[in-house]
Amino acid sequence: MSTLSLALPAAGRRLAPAVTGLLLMTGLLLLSLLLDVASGPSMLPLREVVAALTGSTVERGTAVIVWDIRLPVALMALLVGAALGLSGLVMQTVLHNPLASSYTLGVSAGAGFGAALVIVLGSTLPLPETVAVPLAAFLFAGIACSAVLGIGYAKGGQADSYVLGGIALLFLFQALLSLLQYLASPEALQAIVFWLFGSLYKASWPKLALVAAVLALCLPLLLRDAWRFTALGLSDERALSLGVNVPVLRWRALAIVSLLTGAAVAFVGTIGFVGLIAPHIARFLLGEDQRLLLPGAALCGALLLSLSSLLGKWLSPGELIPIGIVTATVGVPFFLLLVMRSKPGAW
Amino acid sequence: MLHAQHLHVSLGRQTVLQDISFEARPGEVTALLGPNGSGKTTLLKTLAGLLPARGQLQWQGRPRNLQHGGQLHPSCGYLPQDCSTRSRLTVEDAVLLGRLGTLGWRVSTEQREAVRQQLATLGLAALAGRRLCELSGGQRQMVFLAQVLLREPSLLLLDEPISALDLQHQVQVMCTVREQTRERGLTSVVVLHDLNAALAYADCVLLLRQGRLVATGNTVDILTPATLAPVFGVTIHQAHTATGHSVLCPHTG
Repeated sequence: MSTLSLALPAAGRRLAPAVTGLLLMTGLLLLSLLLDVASGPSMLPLREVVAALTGSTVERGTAVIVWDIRLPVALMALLVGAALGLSGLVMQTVLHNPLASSYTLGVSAGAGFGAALVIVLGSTLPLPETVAVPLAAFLFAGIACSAVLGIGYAKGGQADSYVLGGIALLFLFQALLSLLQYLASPEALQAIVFWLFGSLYKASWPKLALVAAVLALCLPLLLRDAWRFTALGLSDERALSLGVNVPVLRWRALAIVSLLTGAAVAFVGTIGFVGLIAPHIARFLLGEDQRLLLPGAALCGALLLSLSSLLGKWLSPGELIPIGIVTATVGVPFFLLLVMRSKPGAW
Repeated sequence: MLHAQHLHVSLGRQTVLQDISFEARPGEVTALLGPNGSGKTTLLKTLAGLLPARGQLQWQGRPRNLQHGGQLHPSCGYLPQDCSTRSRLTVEDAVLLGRLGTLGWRVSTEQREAVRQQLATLGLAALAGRRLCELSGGQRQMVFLAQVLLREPSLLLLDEPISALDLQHQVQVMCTVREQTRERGLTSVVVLHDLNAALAYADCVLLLRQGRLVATGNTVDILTPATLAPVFGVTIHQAHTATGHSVLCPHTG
């Protein structure tokens, strides 16, 4: 019987650092989650948070704060961050573009337009706004993705055609969104702007379950193609020469990513920067092996959004700073630091 | 045995290859020669299954479906000409991808050992832990050749495998290709620009010009000044070395 090894980069020589990196990220993620639940207008001691989470006896008020208010928000940060990190990595890989993310393909802009349309139409719709807004965001994210996939397919599955199609749609949806903002009442305009900032405070257990289900469906599907993504990372032609059906893989991956992104942005609004930066950090830490990178990018995304949520609470106790603002203002300097410190050609 | 009959290949509205018929035998290296734009790479990609074509192509007695293209035939090992990549994958992992079809989540010790042996065969053992983006173009080409050979193909299709290599590595690669072809009974078709490399290492030659096959046969019969001059548009001289080998050199005016 053959001896098996996990055999990660270079015959396992870098196995230990890579797995250590993943474990470290997981540990940090758990710590960040606990701190995020503990933080808020009324700070809770960590042991009380742990007691509440493990079902030990705590005051009823504490249990309500933990389970009904803060935990859904903290978990939403994790799940949305993971979904955005994962989708960003797959987009960057299959499109050979380090700037690819749900923004590049116009998915977020589509979702934003959908949400804004419902906000403007308001009471004329048969559904309550709390249901109609995420539903419209999800649907328009899907429409944007379908259009990009259609353009790419029509052009023979070339990476550039997807990117160009996505950029065209981005400008189209942004223009339509600007039109809606121009026409909207002051109240609707305020609601649109707040939605576009991105906020975790729309989280609830049913929404969490939906995002978790989408993530649980998409992650294994993507992991199944991990080796093919690694091959595609070399170049299209090289992947073809290794037996990968590149146009089919690209189309399939982007369809899965569309679902992930749509589910993520529908409930929290447009949080763009995580999908761009998380894959780069994961690649910086873990290398190019997609068996590690896929979970790594998801972990990085989750950690980034969780830390941003935490930071937002610490910077402005009692205020609800939209998470999209925190991720960009804190993430950009960190990202630039990584770029400046990396070796030439690494980005 | 690879048997092509009346192959026609079009890219968009442009006909790139017309009425190509030839045979390539196992255990032999067939050199594919011709000027730039004559259709060498297109023919190689068609044989690999990557481009759709009209006509018939038989491999080991069985007809191959030429209608769709886009998918490498399982028996093929295809080395593209372009070896550029920004990947930070290590050499060992890159070569391992040669076994892509059989790789599971875990990689067996046997698979790792096969990679090491392949790297050692091509003299690349010292590069195993290096990243692809840190290598020279020639080194990368060698790594990708190792990747192709690890697939253990029965039909080996190499597009200019020595064009980026120094003399020592050119000899090493072509000797390896010839050895593997003989030992494993491979059918090898190699695009070359170096006529003397074709003379030294190829058993047969396919000579293309403007998308048509203008000559095919044994290397020594085809690679003569009289055949080559009209194809390449230059006067070519043939000389013989003290060891009895032929050398072709263009007239430098």
